[in-house]
Amino acid sequence: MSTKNEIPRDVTVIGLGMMGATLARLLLQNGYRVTVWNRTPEKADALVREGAILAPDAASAVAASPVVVVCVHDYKATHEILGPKAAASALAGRLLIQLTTGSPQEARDAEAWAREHRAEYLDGAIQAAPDQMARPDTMILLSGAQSAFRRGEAVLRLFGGNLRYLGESVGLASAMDLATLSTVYGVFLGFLHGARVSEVEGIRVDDYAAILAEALPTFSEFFRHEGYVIQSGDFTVSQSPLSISVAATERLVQTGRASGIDTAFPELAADLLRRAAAAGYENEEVAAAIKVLRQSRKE
Amino acid sequence: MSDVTVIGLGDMGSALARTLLARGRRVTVWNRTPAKADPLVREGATLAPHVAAAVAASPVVIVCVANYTTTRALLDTEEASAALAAGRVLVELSTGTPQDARNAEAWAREQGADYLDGAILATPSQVGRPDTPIITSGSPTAFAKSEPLLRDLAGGLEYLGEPVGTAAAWDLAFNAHLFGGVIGLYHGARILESEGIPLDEFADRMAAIAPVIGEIVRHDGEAIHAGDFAHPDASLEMCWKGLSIIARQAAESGINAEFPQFAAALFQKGVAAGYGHEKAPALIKVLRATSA
Repeated sequence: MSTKNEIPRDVTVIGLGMMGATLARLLLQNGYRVTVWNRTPEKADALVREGAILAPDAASAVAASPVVVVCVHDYKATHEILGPKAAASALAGRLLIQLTTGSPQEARDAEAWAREHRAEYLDGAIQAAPDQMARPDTMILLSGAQSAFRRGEAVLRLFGGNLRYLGESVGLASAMDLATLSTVYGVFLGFLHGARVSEVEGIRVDDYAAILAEALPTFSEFFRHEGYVIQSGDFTVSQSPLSISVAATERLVQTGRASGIDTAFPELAADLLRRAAAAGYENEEVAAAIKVLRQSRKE
Repeated sequence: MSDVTVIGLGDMGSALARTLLARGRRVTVWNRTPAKADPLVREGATLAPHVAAAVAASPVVIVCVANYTTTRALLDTEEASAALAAGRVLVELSTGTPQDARNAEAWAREQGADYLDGAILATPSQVGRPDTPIITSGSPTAFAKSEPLLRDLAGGLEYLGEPVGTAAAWDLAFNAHLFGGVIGLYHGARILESEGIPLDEFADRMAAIAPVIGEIVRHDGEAIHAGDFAHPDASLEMCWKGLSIIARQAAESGINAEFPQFAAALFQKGVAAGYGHEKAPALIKVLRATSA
């Protein structure tokens, strides 16, 4: 058997939302034999015209290819689709690549479930929008058994040139994905509050955003530094003492109140930093606030 | 006479004075605790014996202290006020609110001084670079007189116009964004800690994706300005689901869940208000509807 034959040329894609449809199309364009399945079959019409095979049910979709890529709403939807006996038993010997967004625990549960059904499992998180796929720098985070990664690598490389295999512990990709999202949403909420400050002070929000976009590399240098500080555990002031941030966030709250805008976001920030100051970290680097987060376990 | 006076020698004030010295400027400094001036004096700065002498020493006086109340306490003496009256340009780089800046400008004018308000959007170690941003607002003559000095400090110097509160408003808007990022980052660090993943790669990743986040922010700003939230790449509802997963991971691993719960609840309000299929920045409509 030649090496070429070992590379699976048959791939099934389950879930044809914007991302799933993009993945199926990329496979078709690269000469793969692609079987697709979607809960609403109409979504497959365009792909079928481009050469995809529409499976009549999830079980036949799984049976059609050695590699099954799943990109659906959430892990619960995956389980509803693949959980029934016919589909689950068709998984034996297959490689299941889960590209749906979920938590590390869901990835661990999914891997255990896949193993029970004698399938190999790889968990992934795509770090790009559908129209950014297949670029040399498109990043996909992956974790799970090394053998599963090796088996899926050629297919995944069509989706994104920058594959980051983080290790065998299957929750890693999802954890890194969520940690990144956490920062992005923090930035977003802060940006929205800034947009409200701009609105009430008569600044155009698009001007604010444009200057902010330019300043972001400076800010991100600061983020990187704070990340290193947390990793090192040495919170001696190196860039910015926590006390300055307490004052700055309190100022955001006061100004917000004075101008009558919503202050829930700056209050959250000021509250965290005040607790850190009260815990004695006032004269440490601002990243010392993470020590408060480590202590409090609020559900 | 010096070219410039720097009042306040905390980390930032010292960085300002040091950068100006390095650019060949004659610099007079003053600080409440004079010992802080020692290294700068060794580098060539002149230490003024008191605040009034510091103000009298240069045509441009840069103040960088804890807050505007401190500035006023330092300068509101007969001697200092008389020194300001001799046509000084007062450049206030302490952090404050737009109202602080308006009050400070009115007071400076009463003393006969020209006034410029500014905000440094960088850390002390970033002062003096070609891209360091300092934003200013207030009197155009005050800006013209201090511009060469400020440009030594920040290649990314910007003058935002005569209404003196503009720079402080920008600064607050930047800070709001920065603290959002910082809190998100800390929570992200906790996710990785709870999964036993080292943080160095994460820190590098966050720095690397800054231009991508910048693009998102730019588009969001345009959407808010235009009031057009149709045809989203990522809908508000998708964002809410993403945050719900972050909140669930916090519950699963037992880590602090304040940030994701707060953020998810806010996005949920946006979904409940009927903006689920709009762009994520439509969330500002929820914020507009609620007040302090």
